[in-house]
Amino acid sequence: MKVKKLLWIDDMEHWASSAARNLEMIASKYGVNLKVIWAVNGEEVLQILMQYDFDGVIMDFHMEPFNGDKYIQDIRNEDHLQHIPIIFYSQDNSADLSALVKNLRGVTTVYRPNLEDNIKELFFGE
Amino acid sequence: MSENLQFKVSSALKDIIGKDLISDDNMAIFELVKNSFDAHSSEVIVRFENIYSGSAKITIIDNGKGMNYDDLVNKWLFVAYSAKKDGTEDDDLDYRSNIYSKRPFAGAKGIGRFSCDRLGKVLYLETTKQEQNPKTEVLLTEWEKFESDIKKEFIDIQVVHDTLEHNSFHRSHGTMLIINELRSSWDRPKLLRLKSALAKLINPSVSQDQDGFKILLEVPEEISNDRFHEDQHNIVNGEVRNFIFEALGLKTTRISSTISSDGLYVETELRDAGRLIYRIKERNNFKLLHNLNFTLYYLNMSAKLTFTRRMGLSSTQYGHVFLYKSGFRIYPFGEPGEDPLKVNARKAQGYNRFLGNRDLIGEISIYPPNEELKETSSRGDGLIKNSTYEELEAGFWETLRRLEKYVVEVQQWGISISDESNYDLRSRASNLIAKLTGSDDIIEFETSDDFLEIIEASKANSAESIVNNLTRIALSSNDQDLALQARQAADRIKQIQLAREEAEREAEQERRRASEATTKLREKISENLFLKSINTTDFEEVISLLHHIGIYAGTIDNNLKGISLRVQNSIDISKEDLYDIIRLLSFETKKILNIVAFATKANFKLKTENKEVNIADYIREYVSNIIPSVTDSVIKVSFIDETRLQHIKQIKPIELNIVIDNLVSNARKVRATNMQIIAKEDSENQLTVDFVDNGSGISEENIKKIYDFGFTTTDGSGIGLYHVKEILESLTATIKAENNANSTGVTFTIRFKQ
Repeated sequence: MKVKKLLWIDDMEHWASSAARNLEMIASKYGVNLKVIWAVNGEEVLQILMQYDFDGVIMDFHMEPFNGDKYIQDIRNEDHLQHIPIIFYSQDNSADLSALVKNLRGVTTVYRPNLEDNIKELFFGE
Repeated sequence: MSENLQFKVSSALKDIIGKDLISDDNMAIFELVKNSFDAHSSEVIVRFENIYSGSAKITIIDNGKGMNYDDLVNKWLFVAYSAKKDGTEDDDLDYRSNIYSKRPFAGAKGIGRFSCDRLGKVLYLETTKQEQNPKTEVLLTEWEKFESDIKKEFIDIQVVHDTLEHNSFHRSHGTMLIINELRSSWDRPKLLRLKSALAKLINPSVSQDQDGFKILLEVPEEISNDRFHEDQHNIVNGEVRNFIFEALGLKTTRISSTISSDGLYVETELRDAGRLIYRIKERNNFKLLHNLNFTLYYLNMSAKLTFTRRMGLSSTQYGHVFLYKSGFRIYPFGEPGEDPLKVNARKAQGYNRFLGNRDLIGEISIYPPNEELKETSSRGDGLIKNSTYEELEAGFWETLRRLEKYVVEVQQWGISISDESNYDLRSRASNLIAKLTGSDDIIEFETSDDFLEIIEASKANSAESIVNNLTRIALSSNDQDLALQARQAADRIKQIQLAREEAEREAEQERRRASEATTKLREKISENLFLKSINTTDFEEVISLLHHIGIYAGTIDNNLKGISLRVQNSIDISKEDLYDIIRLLSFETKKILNIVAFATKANFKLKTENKEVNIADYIREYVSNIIPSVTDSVIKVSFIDETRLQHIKQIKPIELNIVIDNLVSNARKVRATNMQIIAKEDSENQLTVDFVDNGSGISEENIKKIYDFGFTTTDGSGIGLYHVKEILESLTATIKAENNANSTGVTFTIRFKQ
């Protein structure tokens, strides 16, 4: 079974953990052993990314103390993280996420209810 | 057989002591101006003509004592001889001539006249001595004659001489130099730089009127351009004045330290914004120094701005600590970019503790005789480094450190004592004076007339030590005035201490009154956090509420989908897992219900889940604005705030709402008609909130089970109090239930830990 590791940053823990549990079940149907590491804000993201190899980053938009786009910029500023796939999502469909990351390559912007489908497409090969 | 030989001097000596020694054009003009000053002129004119037409010339005319034929031969033409140096320069002057009596000499090398060579190839000199029946002597020197063959001896080069009945510069006595065939060109910017440099040549603290010496710059071809400018620093023609310290006025902090002419004492005065902070007289520990002064100004931001506005250039471009000997400037002291006293080098070691050149402007003035402090022959290299110079540097540092002590410790970089309201600053000034007067070297001490005002602000300890120190100084110097001042200060300090105690009592009463007023005001303001009007939800708030509803609904959907996935994939769900999911679904549903209650009632920021609030304020607002709309009128809920302190905590508002909702709902289920919520501090000043109802209470055997999931004695779900405990634990708070001792009902006590 292939192992996929995602770093997921969201301050809404209940929502994110329930979504992840469902994704783990779905992933197993596709022969993928999905492992999710959590962070409730982006402050330690760079450190975590230094310690482990991840297949992708799932980043919420609205967070404290900074919004997710700030941390995405930090990630892309690291040489070895310039190509890691990132999904950037928000519950707020009035937020123009793509404008916030328009100069950064490899960032998929998603409306929160569609996140599950996008993760499946990007990481389970559906 | 022995014989005596003589040195021969090559005509190349002229270059060595002339154009090679004088390092730039401005320096050459300085040397000539110095000569005029030393000749006791009251005025010197420096005139540039034909500067744009190719036949430029410089004319320098003074009204000094002039020279006769003997002077020309025995002084002017005598290379490296200086009558100023051997003290015979003024031997021929009338002793009754007041104007000449005290002026020190600026130059004493006997080479200043060779500056003319630096400026131009030909020098025409006319001079008329101040004596009876004077003649005018004329010399024509063509400097290139010295350059044609360096094997020729210096003394063999001819200088043309003539004697006339009258001079052509229309003064009864004085000297005129006309320098032709200039070696470099002069234009307006260069002339403005010359004027600025000449200004710095003159010691600004020596009153020019009093000393009777004036430098006039005349450039006829620039008169028309001058009319377009108003600022003195942009006008070429006119009197050269060093008004820099006038420009700074009284707005800076100034320290001035003078070593007496007999070298026994040092008198130091420190002023802040014109106000005397202290003046002390102490024994001089620099045995080689006498008759000199150090004056330093600290340039705070305001002084720097004033400087730039008045001078047309920043203080850093102008320079820093200049050195004047006998009224004239010694290079490179003060020159921008130069640091002969190593002020910046030290600043780099302690950026926040030390002043640097950019923070300073000032002067070191050396008065005659001070022969040990000699300028180097090579102009621009400062003073010869001997042991007297080392003491001069040490004296400078002592003065600078005293200024620093005031600026850093008292002003704390920039606050002036002129700020009348600054109590702390006055207190620090007082502490400084206490330390300063503690020195055994102090012979006399003086401070401002409002000295008492300054020490009034001090802490009792430093005020008392000042008085003790002053008494000691007064006794040792037998200074009756100071002794009287010390006694008055002691009496006044007692009065002040009594007045202060009284003031503190009144302040405490005021503080209590203010606290009560604040509490009332807080209640008033709090009504605005939750607005009662339905019309207050603006678009942004609605978006925020929808955002949260979306997430909570999404969480419910995720969990329901999780159950479905497990069923579809034949994954077992344990009872515990199912309970977990039900608890979560219930919790998320309650959040949505709470938001629905908010949606039309709250002007509450829900953009983030977390919010920092004063817990008591928050509960009061919630109780008065939200509870009435979500509970029926059967139960009356009121809030009593007995807190004295602010208890700020980071909370998730919705969760705290759920705690209150559940406790109110619980009371309603046990038939309570009244609930009082009382916020107060416990003995450790921690916030406790009691929810006291008058319902049927809880039986003792159940009181420990009420927080268990699913436990209920009513028709409720048995989840509410479970959620309450979970939420409070996440806030590091505890909850405890006790039946009321003297009445029906129960009290839930929540204790918030700091």
